[in-house]
Amino acid sequence: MTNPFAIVCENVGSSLARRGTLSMPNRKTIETPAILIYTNAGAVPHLTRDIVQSMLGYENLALNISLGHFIKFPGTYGLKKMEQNIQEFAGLNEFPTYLSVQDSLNPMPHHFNDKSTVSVWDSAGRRRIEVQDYELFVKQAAPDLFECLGDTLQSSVSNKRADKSINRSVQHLDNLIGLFGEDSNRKLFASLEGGDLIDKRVSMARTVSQRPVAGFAVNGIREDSYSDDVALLTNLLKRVYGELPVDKPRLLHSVGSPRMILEAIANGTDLLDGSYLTKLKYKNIALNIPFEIYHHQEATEHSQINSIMINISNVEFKEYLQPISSQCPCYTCSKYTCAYLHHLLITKEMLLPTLLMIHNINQYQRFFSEIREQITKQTFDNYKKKIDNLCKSNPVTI
Amino acid sequence: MPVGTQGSLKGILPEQLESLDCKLMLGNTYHLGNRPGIKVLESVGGLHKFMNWNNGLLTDSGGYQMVSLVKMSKVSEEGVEFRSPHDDSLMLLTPEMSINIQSKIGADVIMQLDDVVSSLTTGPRVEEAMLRSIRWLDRCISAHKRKDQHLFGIIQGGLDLDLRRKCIKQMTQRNLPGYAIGGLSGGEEKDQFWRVVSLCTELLPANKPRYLMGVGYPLDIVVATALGVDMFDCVYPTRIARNGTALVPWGTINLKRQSLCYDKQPIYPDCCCYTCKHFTRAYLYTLLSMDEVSALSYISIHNVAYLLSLMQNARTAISNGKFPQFAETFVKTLFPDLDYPVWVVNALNSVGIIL
Ligand SMILES: [Zn+2]
Ligand SMILES: [Zn+2]
Repeated sequence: MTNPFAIVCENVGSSLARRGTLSMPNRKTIETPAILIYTNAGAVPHLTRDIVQSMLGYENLALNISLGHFIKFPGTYGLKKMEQNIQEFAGLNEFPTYLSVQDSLNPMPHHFNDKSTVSVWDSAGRRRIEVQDYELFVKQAAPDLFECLGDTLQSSVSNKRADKSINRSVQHLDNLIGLFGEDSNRKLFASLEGGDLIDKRVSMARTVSQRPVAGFAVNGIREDSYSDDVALLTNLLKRVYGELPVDKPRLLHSVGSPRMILEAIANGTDLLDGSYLTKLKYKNIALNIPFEIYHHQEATEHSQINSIMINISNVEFKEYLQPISSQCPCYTCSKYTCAYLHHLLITKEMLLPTLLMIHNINQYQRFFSEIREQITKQTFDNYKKKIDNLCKSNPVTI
Repeated sequence: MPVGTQGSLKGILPEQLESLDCKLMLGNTYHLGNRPGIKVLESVGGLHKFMNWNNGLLTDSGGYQMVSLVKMSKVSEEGVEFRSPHDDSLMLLTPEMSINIQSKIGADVIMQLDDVVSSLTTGPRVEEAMLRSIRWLDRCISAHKRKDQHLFGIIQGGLDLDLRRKCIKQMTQRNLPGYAIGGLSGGEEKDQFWRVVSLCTELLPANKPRYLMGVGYPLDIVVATALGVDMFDCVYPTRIARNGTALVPWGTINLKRQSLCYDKQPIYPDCCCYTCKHFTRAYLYTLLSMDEVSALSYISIHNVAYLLSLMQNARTAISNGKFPQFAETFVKTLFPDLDYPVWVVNALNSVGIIL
């Protein structure tokens, strides 16, 4: 029984940030903290696989796939019939894959769950998933890592409903551990529930902390309920993670803005999902994270260019013949001007979301790489402070 | 030539198009003149740079879009008068302005402004449009200053073979680097369509490229190639891709069809495109069922690759003296029950290809 996760280095300072590695058989090792890139049916939205391979920071790229995207078509039956696992079916090649139950962009409201089933959205509507259905799908699909079924609370609830959620989720976990045996240790992430009720979350974490699983996934956090008061998230994560073994990876779903990511990592989060980047695309926003934070940035003639997020729809860009960021080495910035991106927006061309996704994913791949570097150099706290200040002075709501 | 109306090809990056060995694409002057506007295109150094496209570009004159898209357009000897779609002001596009705009867009091949009438129009208006197109061609030639751009004339004359003859006689005297056959593909009978094409290719000089405007279905392309046409534009492969439809030798398949949901084959097993090498119909079906936009890119890539390789095969067949066999196999595959359309039989017959 080998632990797929190893901590390489911990930040010395006020934060609990840590750097680690996550290894899976036949896959490149993922360095953490890392982002799992959001996919729709295994595809990074708007990007064909050749673009993913050639234009993203391919080195540390792991994908988050969602159960609902595959459960109807091809489904367990189709995969079996075609004699394929999910990697082969979706042409995922060597990318490490993490299977989550809910789609972070479109989670199922919890009132559809019952004692023995969890509901997800498939391509046609709602589908109930029993533990046995899930077992068969996972065994055929063979993702590198997979999440436990959880009765994930998507909004505020009573104590009683939270207890029910926790009981059901623990039951699902124990059932799956029974069905997967040894594999649970290497592949299964326990789903941590409790909604907004911190005490409930702590009690669930305590209950499952010693289960033989590969890691833990915090579900049911809505970023906007914490963005006004980041301390609430800090408190929640501190207490939940405090119950968990230190040597297992922690995944936090649905938290994704630069500021919240730093907060999550500062409290010991190792993995985040990338659904936020897909949300940015809908708002036509390009990230502009300053990487060499210690270098003084030259002020440019465009006020927007100095902020951490740039809205392409701004009319200022109509004739602005510079890339989003002259320091960004991504394909979009090396080939296209803001004027072109703005033009694609005005003419509603499909290429805009493609170019924005390429840029934004590159930004996040570099952001995470920078974070790992800062942890190693023991300068993470300082880095976080600088980005925090920048985000505070340029508030952009998503 | 795939069509990138607004300065981008729908669903395909320039580098992906280059890797399909696409050498020439089309941009629409009318659309680009509106947005982003000539000022931006000029200051960025032309459309090639703006859209990151290093291979050949062709732009149309802008006249056709104006007549077909703008309700209030009116043609006079001076040019095409129209209401600006933005501020409703009255504007005028003259042959000189069209050339000037195209010189700033910077395409490698540019088109004259012509007086376009629908192929279904009859009566004196057809002749008037043809004669005016010749006069406008002369004005375009005088206005044409950038000698690194090839200016093509456009043959008009509707379905009237005599008018076409007159137009060709006049325009070929101007000794242009290439000629387009305009005013077709507007809903005319196919039997009339091919006869006009055939007449034009017969009379146009053999050593100049002939571009058949607005024709893009694979069958029409193969038949027109048999008749001696050299260039085509087609929005068809990317347009049908957006409905989930893919081109195959026997016609099309729609990847939203549920019968394909467990189909492990690629779209077309003999295709060498990226999509066919990496993905099954079943996976494309799943992507489409989840409304994933990249599915449309995958299908567009296949469709463009399919048409480009169809033309590559036609060129190889011509080089090897085997074009008749190529055309015959193509048509037979498309109509396995041998129920060939009469116009196809007649058109191919006229050049000695007997089905
Ligand atoms: Zn960039
Ligand atoms: Zn193909």
